[in-house]
Amino acid sequence: MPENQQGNTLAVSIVFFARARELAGCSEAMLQVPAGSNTTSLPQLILTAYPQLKTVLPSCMLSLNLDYVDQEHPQLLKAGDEVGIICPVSGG
Amino acid sequence: MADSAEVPSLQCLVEGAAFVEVLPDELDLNRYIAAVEDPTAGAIATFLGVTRDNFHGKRVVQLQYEAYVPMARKVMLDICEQAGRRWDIKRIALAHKTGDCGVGHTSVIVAVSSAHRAPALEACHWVIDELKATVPIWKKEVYEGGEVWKENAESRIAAGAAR
Repeated sequence: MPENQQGNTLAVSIVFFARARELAGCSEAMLQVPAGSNTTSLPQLILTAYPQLKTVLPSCMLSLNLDYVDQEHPQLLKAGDEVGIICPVSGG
Repeated sequence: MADSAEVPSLQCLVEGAAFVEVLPDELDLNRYIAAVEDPTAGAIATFLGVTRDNFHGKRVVQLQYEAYVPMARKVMLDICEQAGRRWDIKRIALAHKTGDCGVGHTSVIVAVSSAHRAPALEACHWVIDELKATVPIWKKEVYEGGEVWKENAESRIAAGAAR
């Protein structure tokens, strides 16, 4: 069994930025999710692990392996995926 | 999406015509002009985003930029490639500074070259608008008496918020 998959869960990494990073208290962390989880279940999985993100998460998008998650086209999560919490951006 | 460009179906940037950087250093405009110079280009259009000293009556001390660097680069490259499909341009450079950006300092540079001026000017305008809407970079405004993470009015992130 792959190192980052044990039993019925698999591990993805979460990266936090800006306000989400300040609220979570870290810039990256591992998150164990049930095997078979997809991007639709990500917001709830993140909130369960980081309830302090409750105020910002509704206005954030998520990214999966450097692409914005399109919630109309759910994708299955796999071990080692990188999920980004993308608060409303303010570049430029 | 508001956009008046005709899109010839086979138009795109040649390989290597897009130059993208996200870096903690002071941005040098000449570097990005050099990146888009081309013997066939009669026009080079540039845009610089510069930290100003005030926002809604508050005096700004500095801006601090944070980036999801690998994703920012990817989205910036995609923006450049989209511009190459929408306008007849030769080369394009797009750079963003991370870290502190004091008043008067440049946070973002766009440079576009084309044979004639209209495509370069239009593409340059579109690119900075698109960057402000979609690139995963955040600015924290430090002003007298506090600091706050900004959200661009252009940001399409809130529009597609996670449920």
